Amino acid sequence: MLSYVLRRLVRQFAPVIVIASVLIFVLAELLPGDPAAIALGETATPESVAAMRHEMGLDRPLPERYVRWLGSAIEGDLGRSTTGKSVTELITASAPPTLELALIAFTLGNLLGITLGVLAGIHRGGPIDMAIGVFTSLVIAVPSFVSGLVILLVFTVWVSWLPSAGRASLLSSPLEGAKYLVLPTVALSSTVAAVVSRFTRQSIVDVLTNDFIRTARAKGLSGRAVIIRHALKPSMLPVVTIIGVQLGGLIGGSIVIEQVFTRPGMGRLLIGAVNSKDYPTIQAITLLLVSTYIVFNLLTDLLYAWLDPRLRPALGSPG
Amino acid sequence: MDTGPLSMEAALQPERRTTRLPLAAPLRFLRRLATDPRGAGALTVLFILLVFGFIIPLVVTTSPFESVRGERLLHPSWKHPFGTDELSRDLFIRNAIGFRSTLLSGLFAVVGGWLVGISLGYTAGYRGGLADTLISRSVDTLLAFPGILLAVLLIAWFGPGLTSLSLAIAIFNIPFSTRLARAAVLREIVRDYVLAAQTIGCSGSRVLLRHVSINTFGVFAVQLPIAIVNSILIIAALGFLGLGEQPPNPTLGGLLFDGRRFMRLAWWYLLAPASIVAVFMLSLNFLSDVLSEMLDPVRRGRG
Repeated sequence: MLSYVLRRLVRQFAPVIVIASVLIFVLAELLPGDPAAIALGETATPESVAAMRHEMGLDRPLPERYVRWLGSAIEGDLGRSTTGKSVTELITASAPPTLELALIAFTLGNLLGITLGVLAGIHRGGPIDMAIGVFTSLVIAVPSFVSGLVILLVFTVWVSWLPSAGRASLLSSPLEGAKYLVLPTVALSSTVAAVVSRFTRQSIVDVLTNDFIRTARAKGLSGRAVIIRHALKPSMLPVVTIIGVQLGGLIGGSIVIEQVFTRPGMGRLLIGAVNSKDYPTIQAITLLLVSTYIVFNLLTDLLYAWLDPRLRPALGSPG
Repeated sequence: MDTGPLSMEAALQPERRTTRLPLAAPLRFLRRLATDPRGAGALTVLFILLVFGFIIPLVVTTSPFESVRGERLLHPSWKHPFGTDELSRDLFIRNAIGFRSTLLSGLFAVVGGWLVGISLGYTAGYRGGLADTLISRSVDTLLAFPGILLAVLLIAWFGPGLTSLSLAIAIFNIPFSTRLARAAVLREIVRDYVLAAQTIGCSGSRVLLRHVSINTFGVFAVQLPIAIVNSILIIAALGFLGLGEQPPNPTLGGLLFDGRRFMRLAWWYLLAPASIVAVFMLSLNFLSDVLSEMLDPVRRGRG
């Protein structure tokens, strides 16, 4: 297993992250406009711009600057935003709203999705299955930011039960924080729940046709015991595979959802940076989100290989 | 010139299923689709939406840009079925044009992206070796950017606007189409007709464009509509983030963005584009469900 992990790291993880970081770095570097001149403003003289370029290290060759940029990013220094603030501080301030939302939406969505999927799978063809099927079809069809906008309109304008914008810390004021979290969580987690529910249902339906289920029934186990002790675990395998995909959806989704509910998270920071052409901030957030995504995809694959040893040679070719 | 190989090629073609579809077949298909209540409902809604987006702008003479003094944020009425916006412009026509422009930019951007992606995938699959490694690794890298992030990054680079939006959506579509085309070529390349075409002296591009392309057409025909729908969603999302086509041109995303800003004063402003996106997506999803059940006998009758 350890050699498999190492092989995955060296062969797939490292190259992708290196190329992605080069891409993120070079994209911003190729842009027209001199960051030194922008930092100094319109009144800068050529001499002062040249001095600033030297100070910012812009007169060095591109590969050297890339290595420096990545090196200091790994050490936790993500550079300075064009607003003059430290990008690391900007991100540290905006990470909690994003993380708490993503974490809660992910957990709730998976719990709800697995429950619904198992229910639908057991009652295949029945009214419960139909009702869950309609729910998942609706949720999957309508994009989360559009349904988010509609529930925002309903619950903050038509009946003003909940605040429409902002965020309060869950740790210091749980009740207040929860109020701000309800709507975005509903919008984000329902999509996760719908996708997971479909996968779980199909998987349960497939597993229930196996001989070992018939054996379990034949030896007199109750329906509930068959599901919980025999069917649930093997049917979770395909569900695990989509965790990585879901996370990608959550990262992308939270960028838009934060905009819908005006939550001061990393998504809003990113869009603000795009609008004000704040490239150091854009680079830093993209690098962070991409690395997170790649790490979680890797973890998903490893988890899957650990759960199902048959996949190990297939995933990482021997050698 | 090469009339000899040409006629031989024609003889070598295995079942060319996609050529010369008689008009009766799609009509019959449409009728079968309409016998399912979900299919009929979805088709009706789609038809209404298409009329709304493509006929209304031609028939209605209201200008989408004209501001009438004193008609700011009006409630829906006979004169303005969807109300008016903060600049006293008619929202009915703006939604219609916004829907059309979002649909069209999705269509063109996806087709552009897929042409590039399919070429790359064909090259990678057919050539193999270094070309395959280079193309596949680049595609892997693009796939490392989750969801909408790649499009946001590209727009950050190009600057917001219709051109950069289309480019971003086209690039966004390259990874998937490349993988699809590569897999299709790898599947086809072992067939006898490819060997036969190569034997009579067809060049690589001729084998790909005249023989492989026809036999892999089905794969793309199924996946392309899904990609277009997904891209339309991304376009709407980017428009909502303020990164799409810039004002005063209406887009669905832009209307959602402005509607969000004025939702306390004018609920109809936000509700109209949100409903259009929701209804459009719902009907397309229903249609695709019915279609896949019709085309897949195994799934038919299974709940």
